[in-house]
Amino acid sequence: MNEQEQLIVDTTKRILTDLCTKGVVDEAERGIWPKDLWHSLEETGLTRAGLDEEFGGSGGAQCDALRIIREAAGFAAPIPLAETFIAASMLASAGVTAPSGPLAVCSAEATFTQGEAGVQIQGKVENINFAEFCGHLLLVNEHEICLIPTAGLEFGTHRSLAGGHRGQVSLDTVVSGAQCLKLESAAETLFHLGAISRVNMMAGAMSSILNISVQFSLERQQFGRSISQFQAIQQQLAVLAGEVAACQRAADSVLVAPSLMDIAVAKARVGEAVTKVADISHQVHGAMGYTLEHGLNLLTRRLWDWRDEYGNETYWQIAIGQRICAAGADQLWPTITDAA
Amino acid sequence: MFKGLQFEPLKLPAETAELRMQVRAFVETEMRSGILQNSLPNSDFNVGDSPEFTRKLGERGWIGMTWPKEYGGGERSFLERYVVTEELLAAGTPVGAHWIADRQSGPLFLKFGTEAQKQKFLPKVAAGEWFFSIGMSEPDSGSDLASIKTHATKVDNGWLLNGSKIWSSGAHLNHYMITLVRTEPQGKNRHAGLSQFIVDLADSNVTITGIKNLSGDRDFNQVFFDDVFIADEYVIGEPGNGWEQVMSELGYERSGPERFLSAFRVLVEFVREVQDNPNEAQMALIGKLVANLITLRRMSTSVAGMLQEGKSPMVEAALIKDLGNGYERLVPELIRLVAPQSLSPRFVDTLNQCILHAPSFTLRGGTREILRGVIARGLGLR
Repeated sequence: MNEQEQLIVDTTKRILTDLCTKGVVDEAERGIWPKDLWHSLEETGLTRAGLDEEFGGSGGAQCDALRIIREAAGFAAPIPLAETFIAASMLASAGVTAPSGPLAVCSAEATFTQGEAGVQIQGKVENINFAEFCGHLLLVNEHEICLIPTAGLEFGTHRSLAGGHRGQVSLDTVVSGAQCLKLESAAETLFHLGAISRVNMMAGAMSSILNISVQFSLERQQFGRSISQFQAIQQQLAVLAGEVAACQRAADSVLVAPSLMDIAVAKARVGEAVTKVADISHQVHGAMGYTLEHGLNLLTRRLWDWRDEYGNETYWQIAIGQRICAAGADQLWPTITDAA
Repeated sequence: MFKGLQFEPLKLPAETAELRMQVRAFVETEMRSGILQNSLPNSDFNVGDSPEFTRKLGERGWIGMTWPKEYGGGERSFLERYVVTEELLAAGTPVGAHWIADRQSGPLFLKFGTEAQKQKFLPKVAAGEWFFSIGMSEPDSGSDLASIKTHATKVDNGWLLNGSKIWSSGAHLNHYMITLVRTEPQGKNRHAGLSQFIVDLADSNVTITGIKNLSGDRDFNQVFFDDVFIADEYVIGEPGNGWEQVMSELGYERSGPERFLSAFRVLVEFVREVQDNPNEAQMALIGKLVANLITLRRMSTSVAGMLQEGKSPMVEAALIKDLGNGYERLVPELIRLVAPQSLSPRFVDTLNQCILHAPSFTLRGGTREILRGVIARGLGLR
């Protein structure tokens, strides 16, 4: 990490430490928007990091945004930082400055027809994260994006493992104030950026899980000593550390101009780690970690959610395997050394 | 207090690309028409000794690559050595003869050896002519290394050595053994009073008995010392400083590619087996194994970068070894579950060889349990 990135991470951490307490996350899961948290991040420019100033951004590179997203995930921040970054950067790619405030983004099985009164949208949109908190929603189909105001839209919702509400809406209506833009390979871009963001979010959450698990084991006394002194616990935490370290390294490989292979490797590897990380951290925390009151679940529930978004392990493993098999056995090693 | 783990991404420098191609071309020639043409490639560093192949590597300057030129080294970077090492392992070449001398005996001499020792031993090792064994474990001392009983008593101009060492890979083929010995009776500090000797394995008072491993290979040995005279010039470093030296020796490259590539040929042959018509389960497994391998290699090159900078990332290295050994043990186990019904003899041989050697992966160079203890210490738990 260079100095600039370190500064960004430290600032993010400071704000989150103050404003992203367990109480704030709990409230957000009950539907209360954490406006102070968002406001503070927005004021410091952190919600628009990695975007050109020309398009309302704070400058910097995509990796700055991803560092912030990773750090925030370590606090289980219940805000659409990743979605806002993805939507704003896709809009910037289409030459448009995103409206201020949090943005939702979602792939849409829908057609967009720009008319005089607005955009005629026909189709179905599912699994919209944070829809109820965002003033605007960016719908993405294969080669088009459509920015719509959410006011007046009725979302059916279901609860995600992360405790947020996933909106879904069927549309056959003209949305006034909507803006429809051509963007080559928009759906693919969303899928890749989505996977990259989830890799970083999982890595951030896992890093916190390792820290709190180590801390808990040092503090929890049983049989007259801290449980950290038992070899059974030490060995488990060592395994946890290995998984978390692998995920940090995997996430680092998608920070700057990742190839499709980099993304596939990272999402497959980090997703795979979730099973062990959740298993060990909950085991170490005992029944306390199984309560809603303890903060561990804020992180593990998010891991269980994020691993399935934008392609689960099998999806990405097959993508890798297909490519390896097509290239043949003798190209396997060169493929691995090329993935520096 | 635990402060997190650092694996800074590392990009291998440009000069390594050409070197990599040189190694690939050399190996391909040897496989096609040279001394490797009848061998079944195996990526396990401990399977396959070929003094002839080792000498050829020595001629090309691919042993002792990082050592000073005055001792026969190449003064090349740690990362260049990394590239050569991983290429040789991935291709499944027999590197067992020089492996220990190149990886740990040489660096031990450079760090603690006398000028005379460096001049005498290093050029021969770098030329691929002299091979070394490790003399650490004993029948009653495995992970608890400080409990060794092999001992030496001071005599004029040297020491008289008695006892025995076990699990010494290749001792029957090698020239010398660096042997950890108790030179003072054990006191309160168990780590004090240990020394490292260079033992000439051709000495008539040294007896070497083979031990077959479960695959039927004779790799291991028990080596007996019966009043073996060790001249003062054959003591490495300070008498009594053996524990510190041996720990630094164990730290060399716990993070190297040999910690996760041992089963690599199984994966290669599996891809050959399914050709371009894999089913979904096979594709998914190949993808999983490749995703893990690429990630491990990235962690490993990160640590190689730290070593190049002169850092000693003990905990990071232990993490890679534990993760990597776990991975290479899983490779044959998972592949067999999705393998086609009808298999080529080449694939079956490769798979079986790996299954038979896999139990050693998580034992050698520090058991899984010892490594996890090292990691736990790094986490601040002990």
